[in-house]
Amino acid sequence: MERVYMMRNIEKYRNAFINVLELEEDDVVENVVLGETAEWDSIAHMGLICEIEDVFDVSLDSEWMTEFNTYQSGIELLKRLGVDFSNE
Amino acid sequence: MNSFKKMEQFGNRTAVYADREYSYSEMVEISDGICGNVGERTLVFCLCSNNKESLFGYVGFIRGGVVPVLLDASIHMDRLRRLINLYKPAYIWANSDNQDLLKTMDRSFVYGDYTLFKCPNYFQHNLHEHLALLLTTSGSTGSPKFVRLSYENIFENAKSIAKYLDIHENDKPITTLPMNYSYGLSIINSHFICGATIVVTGASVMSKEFWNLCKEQQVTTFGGVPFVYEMLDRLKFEELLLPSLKKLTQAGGKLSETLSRKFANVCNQKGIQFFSMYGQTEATARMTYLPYEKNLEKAGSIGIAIPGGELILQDDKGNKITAPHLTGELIYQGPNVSLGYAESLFDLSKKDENNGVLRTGDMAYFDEDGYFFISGRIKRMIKVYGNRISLDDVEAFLLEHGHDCICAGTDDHMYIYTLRDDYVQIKKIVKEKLNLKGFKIMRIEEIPRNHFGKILYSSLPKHG
Repeated sequence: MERVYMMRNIEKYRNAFINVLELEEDDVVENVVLGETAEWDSIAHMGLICEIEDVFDVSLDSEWMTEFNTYQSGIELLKRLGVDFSNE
Repeated sequence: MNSFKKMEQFGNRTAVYADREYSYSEMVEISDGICGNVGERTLVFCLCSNNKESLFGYVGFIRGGVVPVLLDASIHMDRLRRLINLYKPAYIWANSDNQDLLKTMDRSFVYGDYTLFKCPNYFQHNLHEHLALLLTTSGSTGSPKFVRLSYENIFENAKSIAKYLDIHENDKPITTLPMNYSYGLSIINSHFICGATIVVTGASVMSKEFWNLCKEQQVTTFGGVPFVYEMLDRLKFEELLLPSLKKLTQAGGKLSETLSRKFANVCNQKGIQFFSMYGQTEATARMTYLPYEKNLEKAGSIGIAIPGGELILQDDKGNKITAPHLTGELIYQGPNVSLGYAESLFDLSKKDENNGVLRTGDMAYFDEDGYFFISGRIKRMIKVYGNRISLDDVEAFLLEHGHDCICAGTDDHMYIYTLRDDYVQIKKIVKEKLNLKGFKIMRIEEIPRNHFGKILYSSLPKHG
């Protein structure tokens, strides 16, 4: 059987930030904070939410959107929606 | 007329909530303290964020007759230096952490997180006696062009807004727009002249912090450009429980017909007055409003002139249009029409060049009931997240930096077309120097032109 490389959820998640916030691959993506990181303003926030909904096929409610303000908090919030971030 | 000089009358009422309450008396004392360190009538740059320091600085400068230029605190240092060279401010009121200013300027006064930086080269300004304030024309296109506003402009517009929105001392707005942006500033001015309390926060409507503040502080009103309403829609505004909220305003570009109907409906159900408005910095802030009772019946309309203002339509021969449904250029007359523009410090002594008349550059018509509708623009202008951007200015800016490009697009969607492989460089300078968002760059093989060599903007490819 052919082995297909599946991107891990954490990679998909990190890529969403790199794409939407237009960061470089070697930036410390893990440290970005809404409103503090220049690239993560309200406009980018809307973009991130759309991207995360697409990538993980989830529907985010207003509570989720307003609690999501750091790279880490997004992971915790996605776990609550059943996204698995353990080493798949 | 300088209504801020009468702020003492509100005494112990709360003027500002920013981590704690500040009464009008306390605000006046702090503000006058900041301005007192400037000493004389001169020019000051104020690097604004939505915080108490920026706000108190602004209030103090207006009260004390010092002319502030309100700039966004995130302004690129290259652009700030260029503006300093062109306008030679005596002081810069900015965050104390500003490394570039710390290196080159002396600190003369500190309040909270802000410092009054003294500029090393003193220049004796010749400021026109009516000049009160300078605002940028568009968010950030790097244009050094400012709108010159008088004390009469600021306070006549504030008074008119307070009248049609029926603003009371018990109203409590929360900041949702930058204070250096004319619409954001008009919310501050119109509430301060009524003795109301302003909740000052840098938090976005997309943050929990913002909604917690709204609840805790029993906020009654806020404003938004179309993008703010798109976010509110995304947050399912209809399901939010905010019983204190009584009034919402919308300006800074046209809200889509669908969203304006949706918000009109939701607000009407919730007992919130929803006002659509139209304005330009060239008219201090606002020129028209759609009364909330008409927000469904006349959805999509910019409404009627604000109290004290008048709207006229002119056809291309310069004749006044008197019949409904005929399109012409929208001209506004009123005491809030700015004195004119400034492009360097030599323009600051100029007298009123507009004489109360503003050609808006927008095409409009009115219906049989006298409600106005915008149908297009004469100039190649688009609104990007509430800010008016001249596409020709962006083209000129890019050419100056060695990129021969064509700019086109619609509100919130700007397209830059290039013939070369300079995508990365264009993206970088537009982002950094112009501080623009939401633009797309496309490589094209040739520029579509007609027989006369005129660019056919409508034939440019569109993004998917």
